[in-house]
Amino acid sequence: MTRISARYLAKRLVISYLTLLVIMTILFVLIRSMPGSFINSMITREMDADQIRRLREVWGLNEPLWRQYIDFIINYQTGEFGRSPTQKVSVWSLIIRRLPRTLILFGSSFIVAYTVGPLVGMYLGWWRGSKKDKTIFATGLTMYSMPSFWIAWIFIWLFDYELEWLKAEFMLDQFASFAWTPVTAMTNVLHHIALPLISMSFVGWVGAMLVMRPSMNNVTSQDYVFLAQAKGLSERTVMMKHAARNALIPVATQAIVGIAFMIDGSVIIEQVFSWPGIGKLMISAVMAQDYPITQATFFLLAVIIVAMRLLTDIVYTILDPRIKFGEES
Amino acid sequence: MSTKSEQVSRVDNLKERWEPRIERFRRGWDRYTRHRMGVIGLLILAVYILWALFPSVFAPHGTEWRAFVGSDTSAYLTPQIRSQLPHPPAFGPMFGDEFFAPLGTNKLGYGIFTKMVYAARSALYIGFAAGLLSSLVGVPLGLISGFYGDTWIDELIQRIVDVMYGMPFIPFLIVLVAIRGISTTNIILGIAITSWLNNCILIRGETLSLKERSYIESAKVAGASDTRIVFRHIFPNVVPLAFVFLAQDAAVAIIAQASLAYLGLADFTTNSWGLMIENVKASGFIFTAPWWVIPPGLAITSIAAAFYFIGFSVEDVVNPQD
Amino acid sequence: MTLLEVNDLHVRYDADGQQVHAVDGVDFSVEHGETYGLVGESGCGKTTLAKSLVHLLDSNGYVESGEIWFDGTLPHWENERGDPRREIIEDDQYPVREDGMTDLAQLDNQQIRDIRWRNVALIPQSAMNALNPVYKVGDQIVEAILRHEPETTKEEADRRARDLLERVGIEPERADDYAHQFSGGMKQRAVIAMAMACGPDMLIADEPTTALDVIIQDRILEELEELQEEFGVAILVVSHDISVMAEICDKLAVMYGGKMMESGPKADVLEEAANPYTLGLKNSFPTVEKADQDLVSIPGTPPTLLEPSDGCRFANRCPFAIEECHSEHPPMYDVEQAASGKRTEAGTASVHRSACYRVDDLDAMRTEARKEETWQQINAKNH
Repeated sequence: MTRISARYLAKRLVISYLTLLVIMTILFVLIRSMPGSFINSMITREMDADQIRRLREVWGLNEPLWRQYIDFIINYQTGEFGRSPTQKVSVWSLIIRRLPRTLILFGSSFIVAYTVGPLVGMYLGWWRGSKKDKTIFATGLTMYSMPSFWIAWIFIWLFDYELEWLKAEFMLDQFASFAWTPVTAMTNVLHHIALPLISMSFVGWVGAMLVMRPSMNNVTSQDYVFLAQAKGLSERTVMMKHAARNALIPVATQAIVGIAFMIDGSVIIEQVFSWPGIGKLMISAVMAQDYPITQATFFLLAVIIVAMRLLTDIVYTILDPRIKFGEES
Repeated sequence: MSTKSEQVSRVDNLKERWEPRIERFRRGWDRYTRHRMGVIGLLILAVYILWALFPSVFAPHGTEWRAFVGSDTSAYLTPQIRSQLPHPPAFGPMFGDEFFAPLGTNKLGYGIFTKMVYAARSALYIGFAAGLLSSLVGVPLGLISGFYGDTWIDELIQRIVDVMYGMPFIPFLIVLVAIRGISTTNIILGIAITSWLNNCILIRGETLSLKERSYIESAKVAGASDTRIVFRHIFPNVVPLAFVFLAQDAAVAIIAQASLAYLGLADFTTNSWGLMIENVKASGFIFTAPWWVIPPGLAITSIAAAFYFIGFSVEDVVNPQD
Repeated sequence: MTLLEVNDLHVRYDADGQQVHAVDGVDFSVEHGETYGLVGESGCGKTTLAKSLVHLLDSNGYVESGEIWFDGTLPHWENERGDPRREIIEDDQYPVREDGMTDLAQLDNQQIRDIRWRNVALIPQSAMNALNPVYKVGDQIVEAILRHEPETTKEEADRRARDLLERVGIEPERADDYAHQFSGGMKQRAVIAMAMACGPDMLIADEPTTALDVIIQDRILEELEELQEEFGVAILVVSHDISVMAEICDKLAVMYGGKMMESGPKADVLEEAANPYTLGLKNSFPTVEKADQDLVSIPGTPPTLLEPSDGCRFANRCPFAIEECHSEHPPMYDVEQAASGKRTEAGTASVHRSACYRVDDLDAMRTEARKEETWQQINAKNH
């Protein structure tokens, strides 16, 4: 990709870094603003003032606030997330196993949603105003309005409880027994990931469709689409190769927000399905008032969003040849 | 002292100013009602607004009513009664049932439909409050950013938005509420903090294109101050679009609050539809009491869908695509 | 030999439940290798007419009746027979008549798509925006070639594309560039190059010079003339600009209110106009010679085409209208024969035609039309 200069990439990387910095600062302020300190959960009735002081010492709470902040930032550069007060192990060890699970779920849902969404949006935009368009659009909006945790439970009830076609638990057990082949492993994974995946994409695809549809409508009235028709190309070729390819460009911009929404979705879905990923870990940590884990998981989710956004920027540049070196068109 | 003719002319003046606006509104309304989707949205919203304003009229019972024991709050539920709870839909003595609960009851014997009606108020409040707050922040910033496009003000606002886009919404809400306390106000604030971004960006875009219109140029040439241009000329044209985003923000807010409720981070003192779903799950009856789990979800879906339908229909009136 | 013969074509649009009679019974024909111009004000139906020939109307437009006879070598003929124009063809696929011409109006979606570009290439207005921004310019030409000549290899098609660009004055290396890297005039020429890619029998140029500055306009027109000389391609030009027509057309047709008011060789129509509308049009165009003369415009506005009147479409703005003019729109009369005092309806042999009941009174009309007062009368009449 010679159109993407190193300078552009560097600029986006710097912005990404700064973004994370700001987000983590907000998080830091938020957590420290809590009445009481974050080791409250560890203080038992029997402890005397001295023990409490030493406890605070261990957790670095006796330092001045700005010092804590600097330490916090520096530590996070190196992935030093501290130890969990509730689980007595390093936060990193907890996170490292869970990250791939979240990525698998989020990643596959994102792919499904951003394939189905633009496809449906393409057809709806092409047929804009027809009855097909109106009904499918209204249906999409209705799906978008469904709370993901609710529809997830309905799917679980339908497919696991009633029909027993799919499973709603995490698949760890199968892998633990070592008695698997690639094929059975694949089916096992699919079997278990199907429900959470469907639940997430059920709502997620609409975001992309909502951008693709008007974009497609816009593009179809352009002269180059008319010319494509005049060239005698088939309806399908005109719609896909000429119109949709252009209409996709704003979808990349929308994806920036769509990614954040899907991260939200994955946090909730992980909770519903007890999928042991970063999202679920964060929620349990928040409930248990375990702030080192909370901070680290939050950070990781932000990193996923920012990294995906960087990817989106690059995809955007690929899609639109008018953009050179990342300048806005 | 104004003479009679002066007063009359002032009234005429006012009428002159407003008549075209009323006419435009009427045309817009005609166009709006051509969208079946928009009309349905308004109807649904109307129902929920009625529920919120006059719950006692629409709910079959009061908030203290429980199956088998009526409104007596001190009544004891015998094990025999308890074994029948949650009870599927019952339609009263006429149909051979002991009581009337068209959507059945929950584990504690409270009527689902009654709870649903009383919870409408909370949903509407959150939707409108969060939506309005988000607009109140996003729209002015968008106007400023767009009007002073490509200056340091615009750059600054853009950078802030750029950074905030990396913030995960629900996780932020979760941490916010967990730390600052579970209150509806906190939730509304949290939602507004994250959703103003979209408002700002889109209003900015609209302002940028409106800025190039010739009537703005003529206003500038005539010596109008910046504030006047923004408020008198640009703002009224941006309002319909802002309204569209308000509707979308309301939908998002309602679903966000419901999600928080599901995660156990809602205000337990006020009933909300999300809370009802959390209750089913917590009680363990999620697979065996469909009458309990389905209606609240349908309510959330329908009210959010109503807002989306209205929002998109208004958008089609404002930006017609044919 | 005739390439295109249009008979009594009626094209309608559905607009909000009402019907717009965009083209209301038009006959004309174009010879092989000829440049034919359709001129008229906006809304007179000329663009609709051009688009309807290859079914490129908007979704609410349709050919209501009429015939569009075309003499090109249609797709599958090339494979099976030689040059079929000289033989009588029996073809189940295409609606063919005795002389081998096919009625384009009867073709279905697939057939017309096969014929588009390959036989009739329509270049839209503001061709500058007609290039897809996300694909290379060369690739778009290759696409056209491969669509209609699928046996061609990619390399062959690519080579041809570059040759075409070179021929219209663009360096062949530019085929690897994108549309936004071309200047306005270059884009226009690239589209023309693309139009010639499959060697069509006819080019339809819709307002080829709008949105271009005068110097580039000139180059484009030159280009079209050169192409015609080299390839013998017929060109149907649609424009509201008479000066463009004057430069490149062989024959000219003047349209108004969905009807053809006058048609004939360029010199005849322009210098010896035989229709009041044409006379009025000529007045509203400045000429370099008489630069200080006041322009005389035709008062009034063109008709809406919704529910056209039965009479002559131009009657209410025409200073020469008589009673007959208001009852029925006049047929096309032969101008040459009218000079001898008789009104004869135009036949296939007629060259210069005009739809006017007063075609036998031309000298008087021409003299009067040059005076400003003649046209001012209309204002008085209509107030």
